[in-house]
Amino acid sequence: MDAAAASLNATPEPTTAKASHQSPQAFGDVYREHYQAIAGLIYRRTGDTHVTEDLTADVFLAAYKSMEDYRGQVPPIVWIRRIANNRVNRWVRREIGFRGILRRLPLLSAFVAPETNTSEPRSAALNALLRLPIDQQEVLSAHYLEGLSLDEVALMLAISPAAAKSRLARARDALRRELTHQAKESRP
Amino acid sequence: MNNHDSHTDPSAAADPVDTALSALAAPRWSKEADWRSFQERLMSTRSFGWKKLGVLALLASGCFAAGAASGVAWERFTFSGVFRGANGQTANVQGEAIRTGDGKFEMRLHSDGKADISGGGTMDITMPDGGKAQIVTTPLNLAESKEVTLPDGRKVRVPKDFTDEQIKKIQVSPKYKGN
Repeated sequence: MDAAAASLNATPEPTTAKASHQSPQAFGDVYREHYQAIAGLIYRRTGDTHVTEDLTADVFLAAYKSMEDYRGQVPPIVWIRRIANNRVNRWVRREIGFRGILRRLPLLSAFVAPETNTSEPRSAALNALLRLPIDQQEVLSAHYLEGLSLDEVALMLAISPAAAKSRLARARDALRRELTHQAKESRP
Repeated sequence: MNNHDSHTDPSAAADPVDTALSALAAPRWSKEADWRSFQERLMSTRSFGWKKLGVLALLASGCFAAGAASGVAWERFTFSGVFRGANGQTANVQGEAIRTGDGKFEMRLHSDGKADISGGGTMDITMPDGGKAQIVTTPLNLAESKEVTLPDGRKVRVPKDFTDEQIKKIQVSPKYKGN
């Protein structure tokens, strides 16, 4: 679990964020403080080093550009995590959607690289995770991969803690089904 | 932090869901934050607000310009580059930008005079650390300007609302004195 995750419940720091907009140097402090947490989040969901580097840069670029709109309603790390989630979700939709389309085309399916090596536990797990609906990926990632509490997950996803809890339960069930399905498919 | 009862409970260790989630949670990102590199990327993609920069005044002598920019990364920096005028002419430029407060920069610019920088254009500049940026300048609006005579005899055109204090700054710039 990233140590930075622990700061999620910290007191909002609107003045810091506003100062960051006025001073790129101050934004450097935000970048350095949250880089590991954001890059870690992206890496655990995409499993790709290059994608992680690109998306992390995109996230902080977007954060810098929209700093003007940040009003300090939530701590900076929550706000940046939301941006990161949106970027990863967009990547997942594009990546998975593209592969899916190619696989449905008989002439092209043979040329599509396998998503992951499903014999390796982490790859198999990631494969299953990426097949879930985006909202379920988000909640599983936030709670189990990033180590956020249900209250923190709710804050980040802007939903109630009760909704976060039920979504998490549904996501676990869906992941279980996906893992079972994947195990059946991989049997000779 | 939080407690994940479902996957910290030893009795649930055999659950394939918990096994999968543990495997997914394991990787750590080991690279350190490189703010310098990120900052250069921002600058090279003109994301630090260079597009917002409008040169407030380009003096008719073609020797100086004072401008303002928002969101530039450094407090003070010198630069060099090439100005491409709207009429296709180019000129070598060098200058200095200094943060003046309120997120604005004042720029003093020296041109070799081979292009009319008062007519507006684009300026590709190189920062001291090698970073690149492009500045778009707007033409000087003659109707909104006035001509003043500096103590050394030069006649220059400045924005109509330029104060004596601002004009004085032009005069005392030691680096470009005599141009």
